[in-house]
Amino acid sequence: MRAMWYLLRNRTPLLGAAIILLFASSSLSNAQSPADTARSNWILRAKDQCVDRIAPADLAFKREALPKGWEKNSIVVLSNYARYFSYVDQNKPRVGQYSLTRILLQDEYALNDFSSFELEDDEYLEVKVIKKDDSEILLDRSREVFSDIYYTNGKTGKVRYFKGDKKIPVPNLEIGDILEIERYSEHVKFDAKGKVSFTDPDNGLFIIRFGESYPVFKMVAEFELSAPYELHWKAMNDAPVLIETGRNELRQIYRVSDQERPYIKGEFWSSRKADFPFLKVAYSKKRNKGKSIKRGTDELDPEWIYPYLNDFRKKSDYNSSGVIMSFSRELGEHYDKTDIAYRFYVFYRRKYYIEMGGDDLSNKHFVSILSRILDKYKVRYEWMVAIPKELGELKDLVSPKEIQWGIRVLGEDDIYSELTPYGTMSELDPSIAGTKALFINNSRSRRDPRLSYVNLPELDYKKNELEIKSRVNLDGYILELNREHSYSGFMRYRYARMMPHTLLYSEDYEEMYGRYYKMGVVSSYVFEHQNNLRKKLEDVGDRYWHDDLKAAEARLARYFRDRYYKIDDYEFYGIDNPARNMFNPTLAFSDRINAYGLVGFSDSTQIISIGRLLGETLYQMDQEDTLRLTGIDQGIPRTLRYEVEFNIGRKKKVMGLENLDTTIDNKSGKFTVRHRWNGRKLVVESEQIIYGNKLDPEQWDDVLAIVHAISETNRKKITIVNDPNAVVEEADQSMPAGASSSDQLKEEDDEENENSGGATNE
Amino acid sequence: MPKIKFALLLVVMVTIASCTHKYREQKYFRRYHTLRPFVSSENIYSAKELRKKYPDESFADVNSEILVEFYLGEGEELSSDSLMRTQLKARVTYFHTILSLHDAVRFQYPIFYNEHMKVSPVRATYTPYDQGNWFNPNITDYSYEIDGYFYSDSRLKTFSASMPTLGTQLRFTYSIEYENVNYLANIFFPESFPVDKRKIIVRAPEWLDLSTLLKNTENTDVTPSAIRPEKSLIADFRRMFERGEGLDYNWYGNYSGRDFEKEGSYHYKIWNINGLAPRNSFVAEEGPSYYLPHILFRVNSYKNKEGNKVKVIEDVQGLYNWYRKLVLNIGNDPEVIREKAAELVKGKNGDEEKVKAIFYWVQDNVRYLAFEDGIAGFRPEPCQMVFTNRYGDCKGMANLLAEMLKSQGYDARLTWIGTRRIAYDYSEPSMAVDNHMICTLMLDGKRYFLDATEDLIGFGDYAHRIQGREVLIEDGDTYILDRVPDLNADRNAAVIKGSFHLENGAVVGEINEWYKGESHTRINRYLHGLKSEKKEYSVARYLNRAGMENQVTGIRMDSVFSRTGTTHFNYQFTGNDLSFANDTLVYLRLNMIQLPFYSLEWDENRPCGMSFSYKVHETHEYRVQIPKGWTVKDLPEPVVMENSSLQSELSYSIEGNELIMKARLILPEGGIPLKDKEVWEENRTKMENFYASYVVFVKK
Repeated sequence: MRAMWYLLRNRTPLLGAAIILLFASSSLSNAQSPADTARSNWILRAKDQCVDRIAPADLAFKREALPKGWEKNSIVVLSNYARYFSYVDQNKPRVGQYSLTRILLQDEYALNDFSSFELEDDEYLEVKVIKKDDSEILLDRSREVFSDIYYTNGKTGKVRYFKGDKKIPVPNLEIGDILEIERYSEHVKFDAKGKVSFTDPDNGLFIIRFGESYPVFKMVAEFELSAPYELHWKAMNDAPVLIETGRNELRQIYRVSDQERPYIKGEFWSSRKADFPFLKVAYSKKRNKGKSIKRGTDELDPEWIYPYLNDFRKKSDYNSSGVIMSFSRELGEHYDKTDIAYRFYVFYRRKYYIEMGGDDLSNKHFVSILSRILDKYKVRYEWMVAIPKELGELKDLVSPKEIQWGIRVLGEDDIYSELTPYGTMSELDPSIAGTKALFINNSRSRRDPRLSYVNLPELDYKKNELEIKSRVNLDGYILELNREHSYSGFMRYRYARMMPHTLLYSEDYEEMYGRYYKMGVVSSYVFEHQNNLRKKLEDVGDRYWHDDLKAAEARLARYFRDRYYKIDDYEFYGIDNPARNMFNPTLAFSDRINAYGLVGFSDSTQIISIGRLLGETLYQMDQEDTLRLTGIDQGIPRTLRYEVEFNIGRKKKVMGLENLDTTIDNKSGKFTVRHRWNGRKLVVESEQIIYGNKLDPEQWDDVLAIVHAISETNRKKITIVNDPNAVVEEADQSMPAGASSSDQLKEEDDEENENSGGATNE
Repeated sequence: MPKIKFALLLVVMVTIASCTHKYREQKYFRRYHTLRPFVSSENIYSAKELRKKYPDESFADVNSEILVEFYLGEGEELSSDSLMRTQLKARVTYFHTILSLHDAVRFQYPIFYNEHMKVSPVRATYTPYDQGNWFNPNITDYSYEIDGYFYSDSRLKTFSASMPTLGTQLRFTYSIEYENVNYLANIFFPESFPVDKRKIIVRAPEWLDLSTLLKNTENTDVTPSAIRPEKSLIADFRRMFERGEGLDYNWYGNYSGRDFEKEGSYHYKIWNINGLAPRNSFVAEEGPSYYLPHILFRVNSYKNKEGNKVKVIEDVQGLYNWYRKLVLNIGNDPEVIREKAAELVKGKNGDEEKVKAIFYWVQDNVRYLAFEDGIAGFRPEPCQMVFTNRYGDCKGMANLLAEMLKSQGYDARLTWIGTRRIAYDYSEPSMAVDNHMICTLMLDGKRYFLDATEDLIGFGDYAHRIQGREVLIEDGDTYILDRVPDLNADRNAAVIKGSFHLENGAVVGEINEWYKGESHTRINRYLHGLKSEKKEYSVARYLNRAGMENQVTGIRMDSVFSRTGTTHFNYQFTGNDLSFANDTLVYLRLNMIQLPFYSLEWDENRPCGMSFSYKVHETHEYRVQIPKGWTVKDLPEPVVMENSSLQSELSYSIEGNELIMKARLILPEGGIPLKDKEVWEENRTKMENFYASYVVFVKK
């Protein structure tokens, strides 16, 4: 370098030329930013390094004879080779992914689906079209289009540029062509100057699912790693297993391969994720002084969980110090240790969802901050470690990314795991209900915590209820339904999101200090100050509330429109209980819809599709009446109740009630319809219960029996006809012959008649 | 002493901590108190009044102006080779005054542009209290994805501003410069929010020959105004600029300190518009140029800096000349495609067979991928490129088709056309007239219009979207104006016939369906694009429109995948939800397959007619055997409606021992004009009631 400088110094013309060259090169490089150049160079180099390590045999390919019947598929994956890297290169941890896939296009749909490719900016993509005569066509890179984004800061005038996704059309595509798609991506970041930084592959979790999208003739996936990383894996549902194929001082290679895997067709209510074969693989750094801990192959060893629990307590995590300080300030001096977790739950929900305008909050983030709060106030608690059912059991854990974390204060029942705008503190994610969870008590030394395994409660259909009571007015072809809705448990979530404003200060305030007042704290300062505060909040809240009711009405109208039946008009009356208050987490609101398509006429007879008013129509699934192959996922156990009340006018009578009542009860659920008719008023009630969410394939007949009963009910109709003798017969019709109402209902009717002074005799 | 000092220090610290604590609590709610100063009582009153008028809207533009100016570009000479730029430029400056009609809403505003337009920085201020405190909102600028386009140079700049309380007023302004004056084809009056007052000022220099035409203003409160711009909102803005209130950008320098009177002679056209409803989207809506009020601009000619008259688009010849420039230098190399064209026509007898072979090959083998990028939005790609890539946009496909036909000795020409979505024709020549390109074949004294982007369409058949549309056909230095034939609705006839009997409470029988013309093409395209493994299931789902409670089995299909001819389905049907019975009566209605489109409700705020994708001509006939020992008691009233845009007929009748239901709907124009709104609604109600009605069987 010094020699070069000496040369340049003594050769002025050379120096000038060098300067010119420097300028020229810099002006040329203006076409691409340093970050772009660095990125494209990096990706190309890394991809070449990666391909060099692959055995040529894995990339060799010839047209294979496909299994019989596969020609009926739109697309067949002929071969899929994937390689995942995780290793340290020049003290930098790197994680990359390479894949080479060949697919056969067998119909027009496939041509359209693969007529263009989209790729991210830091991804290498090469697509080759292999024609039937084995000639090859490469993508024309000049046809690449970008969707660039510029963000101009109004205050500073600075323009930030983001390169959007690329899109490339595939040329000359015909049915019978093979597409060879080569992709490489590496988790690296480049700053504006092109400086590279890496993502640590620690705990990177890969899930390979078999037979999920297309039939696959041949697949190989390899995982390459070097110290200090080790690999943990678990094959689920008879998935192919991982085999170590190479090891030396520098690196290890594991391989999984599969052949002639057909596409697994989904069935109604099947849980593809849980029931189909899949392989979980995770990288992790060796811990415990280099001692290797095998996961996913034996009983869960909690040893490897402790480091993550300690991570929760680190200040660097999640930048939560501000939240903790803010909470401490709000908590003030008057608090009870047993109340801290609850108070923080309420505080953080408000802070996060209103003031910070937060979106979804990760379970790990919430538990981390809560553990720091409890540590600060020296509250004894235990951590919960659970795994969603669809990923197996605790002993199948391979990565902390699978874990659903939670915290339980010692001596209390509530488990704090999720922070959602509508949730209550003890509501756990439904995916872990009924699973065995590990509880780790932090009250002793962190090196020797006390462990216990606890079966988390199953979801209860009694706690997840939907109830809609409708009073129906007949107006020609239109049915006017005035409805009262009530949703509890997980049933309320869908509707709660449509309600006005996420959280209202005034409600939240009540929740926050409701307990506080109950505790008998009468500090004049606290009382006066907080009362003033409350008034201000209510003022703001009311104005938000008023404006948001309109928006809520629009959301609900969109949701209900043409859902079960055609809706002519929708009116949202308002909220009776917003379900945001933990003391009464049942959402209740009322509305009116005008439905049409449910009333038919024949002369003066009205024919009403009464069954359609009793909830969502479940159709008969004839194609499912055959052998069931996969397990049944009925969703959350729940109870659905509908009550429809018709006021039938004088001189009218109702026909068709005799076949309305039905009851079916089996292991999968229960469905009941009952009616009451007192000559003026017809009340029809239905109740559907789904007992459990997961059923074996053998129980499909039970499910179908319920489905068919509901479908039958949905098709049922009643007729309302003129009855000139109505006055004479009304008393006799209070419970018409053939109406199979239960004794209990008869009693209720009698009671009602008594209470109303004998309405039927009016 | 140290103890006292320590005590004093402690007291001071506690006091500070206490104050800080209180301060923080106050700060906590500060933002709610700071909302008030933005809002004046007048604005709150206005906002409440406007909210009564527009209860579903969050904002309204209470006072806005649009200034359209023309000028000659600096230091730029007009060259005959310059295709996309002209020396004559246009600038449109927008001034908006937005009022919030609700609390806590965020105003978002989009500015659409492309690479032939330049958008100035946006300047905004909260008024009246924050008047003069101008700021630049943050701008996000990104590609605007247009449905059906693989790529276009359309871009979108958006900004948003917080409107914390009811009555918050935001003023903002920006300009758009048009590098080529032809791109300024029209300005639409409405916005996505209601506009209470709007003024449009067109300032044309005397050396400019400009035509302006107001369209669709019959139901809009538009009045020409004599007010000069210096007395308008623009002048108001200008005064703010002059006071140096932050508007020191070059973009606005044109107004600062200028006196319009001294700048030579101008022709002013000024319109005041009041009470513009927001622009909403509707099902099956017509193109916006059919119903939204707007101004159509056409620059006929101007004098350049040298004082010479330059023609722009004075007439159709002017428009054609410009188009012609774009297609003269495409760079076609017909040798590349000649061999393939020859291979396709080899062994074919007669011209029609040969033309079909080439036309269908392009349809089947060249995928439609729309590129609208700069000049590429107007100039076709060379034929050899589209041929090699096997993809292209309408221009590329039309050009390839024309070149392939020409290589085999046919007279094929590039042809510009505006689809039905555009209300204009060549009587008002401008770039707004066309949005599509096809190929015209001159054969035996006839003209055939070949649109290669229409998948699976037959030779001599035309898609509804181009039927009846005026076309501009290349003819050397001159042009030919013609019109694509408008085909009758019966060409698209769809016939469904079923014969049934009652069995165990269900309606059981056989159904046959036949489809011709565009109804055939639609089904053909749908089935063609399905996944192979799901095709059978999807066809069953398509045929079982009556709902899954009914069953469709034994499906047979004929001619489904042919380009011409008739699609035919035959299948067995079991309707479980069509009838029910008690001891003495059987109720039956045959509403399992209903006529298309009739149930679309005409929104009372809908400002436009309905436009469907094809001309409907559909007939249904269902026959049900009356069970022995039963007779029909009541038949629903028949429905008969007929006018120029709609014919419908529904009836039940009895022939021998059969109950017959007949239904027919014809939409001869493929749409319903706004004037027939009442007819449509009356027909809808009648048809709904008919389909809801039951026939009653009673025992004899």
